[in-house]
Amino acid sequence: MGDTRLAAFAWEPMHCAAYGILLLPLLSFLINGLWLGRKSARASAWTATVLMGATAALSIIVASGYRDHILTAPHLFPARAALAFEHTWLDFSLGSGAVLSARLGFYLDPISVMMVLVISFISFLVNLYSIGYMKDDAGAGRFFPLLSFFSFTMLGLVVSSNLAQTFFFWELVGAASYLLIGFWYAKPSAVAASKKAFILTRLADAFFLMGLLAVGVNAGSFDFAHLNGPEAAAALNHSVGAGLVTFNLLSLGTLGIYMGAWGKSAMFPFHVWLPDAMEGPTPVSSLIHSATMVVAGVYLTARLYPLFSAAEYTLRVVECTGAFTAVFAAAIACAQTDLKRILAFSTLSQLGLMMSALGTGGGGEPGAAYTASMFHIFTHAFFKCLLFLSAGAVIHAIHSNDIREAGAGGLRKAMPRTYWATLIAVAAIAGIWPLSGFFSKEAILHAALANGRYGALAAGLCTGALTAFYMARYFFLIFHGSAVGSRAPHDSRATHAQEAHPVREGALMTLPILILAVPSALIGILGKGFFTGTVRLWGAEGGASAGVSESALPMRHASSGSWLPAVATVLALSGAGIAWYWYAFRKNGAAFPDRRAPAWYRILAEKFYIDEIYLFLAKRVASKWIAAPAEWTERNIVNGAFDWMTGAVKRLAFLQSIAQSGQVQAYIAVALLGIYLLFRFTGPGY
Amino acid sequence: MLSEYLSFILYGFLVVATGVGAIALSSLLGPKKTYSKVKFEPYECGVDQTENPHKPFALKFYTFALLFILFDIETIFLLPWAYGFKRLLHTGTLPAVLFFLVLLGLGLFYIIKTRALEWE
Amino acid sequence: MTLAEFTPLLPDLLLLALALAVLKIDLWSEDGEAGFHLTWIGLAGLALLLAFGSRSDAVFADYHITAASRVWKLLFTLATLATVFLSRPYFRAGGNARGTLAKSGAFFGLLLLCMQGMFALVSAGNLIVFYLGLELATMPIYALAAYQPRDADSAEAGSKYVLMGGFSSALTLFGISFLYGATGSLGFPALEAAVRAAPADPALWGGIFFLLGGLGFKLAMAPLHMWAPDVYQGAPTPVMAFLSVASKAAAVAALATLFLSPLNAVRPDLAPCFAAAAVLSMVAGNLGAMRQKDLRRFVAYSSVAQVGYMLLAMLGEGDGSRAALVYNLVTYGVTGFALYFIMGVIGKEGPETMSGLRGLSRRHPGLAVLLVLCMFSLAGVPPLAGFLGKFMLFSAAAAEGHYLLVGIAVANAVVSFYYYMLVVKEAYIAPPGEAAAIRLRPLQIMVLWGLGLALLVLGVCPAPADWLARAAGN
Repeated sequence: MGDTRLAAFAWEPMHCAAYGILLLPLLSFLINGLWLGRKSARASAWTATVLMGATAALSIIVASGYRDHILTAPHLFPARAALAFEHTWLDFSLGSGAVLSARLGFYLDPISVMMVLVISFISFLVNLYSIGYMKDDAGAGRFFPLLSFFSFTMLGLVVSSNLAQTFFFWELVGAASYLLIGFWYAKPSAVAASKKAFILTRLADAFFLMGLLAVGVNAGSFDFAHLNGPEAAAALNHSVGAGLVTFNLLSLGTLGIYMGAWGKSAMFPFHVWLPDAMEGPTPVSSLIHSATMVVAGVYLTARLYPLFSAAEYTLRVVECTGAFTAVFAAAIACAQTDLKRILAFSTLSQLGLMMSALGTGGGGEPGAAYTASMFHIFTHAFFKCLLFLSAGAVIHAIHSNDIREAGAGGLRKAMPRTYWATLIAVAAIAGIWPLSGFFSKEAILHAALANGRYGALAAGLCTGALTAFYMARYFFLIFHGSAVGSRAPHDSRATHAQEAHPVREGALMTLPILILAVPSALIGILGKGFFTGTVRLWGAEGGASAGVSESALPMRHASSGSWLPAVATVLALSGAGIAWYWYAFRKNGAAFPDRRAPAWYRILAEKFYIDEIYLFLAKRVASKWIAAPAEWTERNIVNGAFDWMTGAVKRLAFLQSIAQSGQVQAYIAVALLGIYLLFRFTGPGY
Repeated sequence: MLSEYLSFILYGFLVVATGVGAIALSSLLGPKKTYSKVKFEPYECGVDQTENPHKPFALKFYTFALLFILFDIETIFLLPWAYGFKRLLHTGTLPAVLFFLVLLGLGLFYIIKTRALEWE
Repeated sequence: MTLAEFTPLLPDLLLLALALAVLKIDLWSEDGEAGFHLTWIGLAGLALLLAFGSRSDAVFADYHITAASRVWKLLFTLATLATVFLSRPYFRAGGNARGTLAKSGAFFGLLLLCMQGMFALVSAGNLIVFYLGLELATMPIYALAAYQPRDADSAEAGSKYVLMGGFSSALTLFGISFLYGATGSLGFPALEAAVRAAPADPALWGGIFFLLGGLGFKLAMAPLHMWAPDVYQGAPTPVMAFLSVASKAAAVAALATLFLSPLNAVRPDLAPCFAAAAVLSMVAGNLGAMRQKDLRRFVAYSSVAQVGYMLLAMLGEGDGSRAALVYNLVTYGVTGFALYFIMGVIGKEGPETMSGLRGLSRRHPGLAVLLVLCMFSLAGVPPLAGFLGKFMLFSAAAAEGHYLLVGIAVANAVVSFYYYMLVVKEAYIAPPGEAAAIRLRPLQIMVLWGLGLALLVLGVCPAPADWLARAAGN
């Protein structure tokens, strides 16, 4: 508490609201989980929604209080972070008098406040949406408490004042997602997916725990306020190890922590769990992809950014994994036919962008990189949630995940509100001016340029074009793809499903979609000033340790790269244009990589030379040389490697069971041999 | 250095040589074995064996044997104390020995009460 | 010496009286009820006495009453108390599918005598007292392991434990004789001084390794762990519970008593040995547990892995290590007894195996949730008790810079996740068959809630265990 980097302030409503933000979702979990959920699913749904709404209201109080009492309070400058409350949870005695305290706190700084707002707001809307979505599900009484729990864990994670608390909630987020992804536990694929998600992220978390211990023990504190200061980086910056194996402790520790983020944010090659996680109910997917779970990794990296930016090697790793994942996932998304899988890969790609943006900070402009990444997290949460909720509405209406079946349904007429909402979200993620994605994506590209990271810049531009292409494809195939009826074998089933369940837009499900459409469209232009203007996220507390001077901080729109938005927009529009031409105008159905190379293809090539290049790029290069190999790699090598690892462990286990013969003389022989070997190899001087 | 261990090495050599030598000599010099069915039968005072000698004993024998060993050893503890009783009286060991006797008595009582000493 | 000076010794004396009284009262009680009630009331009183009674340290020749020893004793008392409650249905006709146990009075008496040995072990100020305690803490278990009447597995467990126990006693005694030869003393203070003076004496090291071998057996530390699966599987479940919690705690306490005080000077040189044994135990335990179908055998392997984690603390700095060990034992004990409780419930009608858990989520959702909590806790997922236990152990080792080792331990924890999830899978996913719903008595429901809450509370608010750990550390 006595840290000078933390502002001291007293504004009672804020303290109370901060408690409320954590307690209300927990309360909802307890009430619904222990009692109400079993009595009445409907009542529990409404209780959860109302409590989540109250949480969202409280988060607004905290946010405005934070702005008025800390951020814009001149006497507190340069402190920009504060604690709404903090309780000591456990003191670890490290021996020789040193005590490492793990505390439960509520840390206020621009990004935590932003995340609290986003999480509570989106959780509220998802709750509202789920009332309609889960109406007919037998397990609805179990669903809402878990959803509240998920929100609670994520809120606890983002307001953590120290690494120990972060890890604690980090694992809880993992457990909550495990329960929700495997929500339909009678479905073997759902169980497999939830296990995969849990075990993979746990594997990454193992490194996180190591990094956390290495950093916390050596810096003497888990507190972010301390870790983000220059002393912590200096204390860590030395070599450890013996003989040939020596590490820089700072790189090792931060890399370990980043490994946790790597897994949670599903960066390549840990990404395999995320597409499978679609097995959960759609509202869960929308939460996982927009506000909870996957962004936790990016958030953690940002949370410790000053420490990370002192470790150049780690930042380079962040940048590379991010940039690679961005392009890789975008390429895969181009060839998918499952509605939710397309969105899942788009999330991967966008997360990659955020990560790579953070990583570019190594080039001397960490402020720009950090701001851009946080800005994108913010806008992405809204439009990605909107995409999932509207996709859920489509799935709910046609009872299928297949994009080709959706195309047959004439959904544009039947679901006009969903249609327009999806259009807004698609345009936003594609980065079309003036929708939100344009501004944050531009900020990321600017950050890469300002830092001189041309590789990340190229990856960003490439991802932008691909994103526009596959999102437009997604949109046109669902709502403008009636031609598919002539060739899709699933068509009859889709029509049949439709006859059985006439397509309707339920009010409770449409309302959140409509509400979300507003921020998806406008939050970029409104938030731009907050993120890059006078009120900067990047404060003095981080600048010092990273060796960044205050003057270098504002975004440089004017001085460099004013051509960037233009290039990005042109790329996005051409990507979307190709998709339009291909799927809406020519109505080529979803089978874009068509083996049969029809006659119109040659005619097209002769008529439009430009088109041919684009098509060649899109079809030959993007689809055949990038998307297909990428998918193959994923299926065979990445998944295969994980399978091989588990297989190897099982074989080892079998070997051990042979040694266990059941004969005492064998046991004693092994024991004596063991003692002898221990004595021989670990005894001193023998 | 070596001379220090010479006697030890010699000793070791002798030990091995004696053992191996005895066995080797006896097999060299001793009468050659002849094997027959009769030779493998257990010797039961010249009487033909009628049943398997490896019969299970009644568990009571073991109980008796165990109890005997227990009390036997405890008597060994008591004997020296009783022998030096007069001199040890002043050393303050009396309460300890009495405590020991009480425990012993309680044990005996338990054995009698659980009828471990009754044959039937 | 006045009587008042004996107050610190009161718990030990009371325990002896209790053990004798339970044995005696059984002679007159027809159904064994009196023995049961006397035992649990006595143990509860003893726990209170240890927690809130006299806090003064005292030295009675080679019997030392210290704060740390009191904490260990409290731990043993609570573990035994839980075992006594756990064993209750096993003595009732129809209480367990494997068969009813008989002679409850002798059973409780043996448990109490075993505890007396543990008490002596942690109060030892001399290697002879130490050895006597170790033996007394082991011998009753020979009988207890074979307690299931007319059961070949149980007889096998008993005889195996006798053989291995005898072997380990011999090793221990041999090691003690080496130590005596090297230092010329059996008392701990003199031993400490001698070890400090000549830490490189080969005879000393011979002694230490033999001693470590003997203790390793009791601890079920790899490569001396191989008896554990057979004995755990054959022994009646309450005995297995006692072996895996109380007896394990005693072995850990023995290790701590010896290596954190008189032999502390050589502990840095022993680091590679502890590290190797820790890694071996983790790997052997985790690999072994993976293929098990029998829950008792599964517990055996998982406890071998836990020993591996606990050995990490032996690499840490003295007080922190002791605190981490105590803390971990508390969390492990609570988690373990929650699992054994579930085993007891399902054992009423079917075998205590993986397949016996099948469909538990339908048969009794509350039990299934408790099982999930247990498994998550054993795997070390926050906010459950097991997480903090592991975290303390890992940070004790990390504080001394053993990052590679912590890395291996964490990787092992991930592997262990796989088989803990297999158990959960049995309870939730596997088709339930036609087993009927389970009905719990009100007392059992209270126990269920209590254990579930304890798993959560010890993970979220570590104050109670922290208090113990601190008391042991200082």
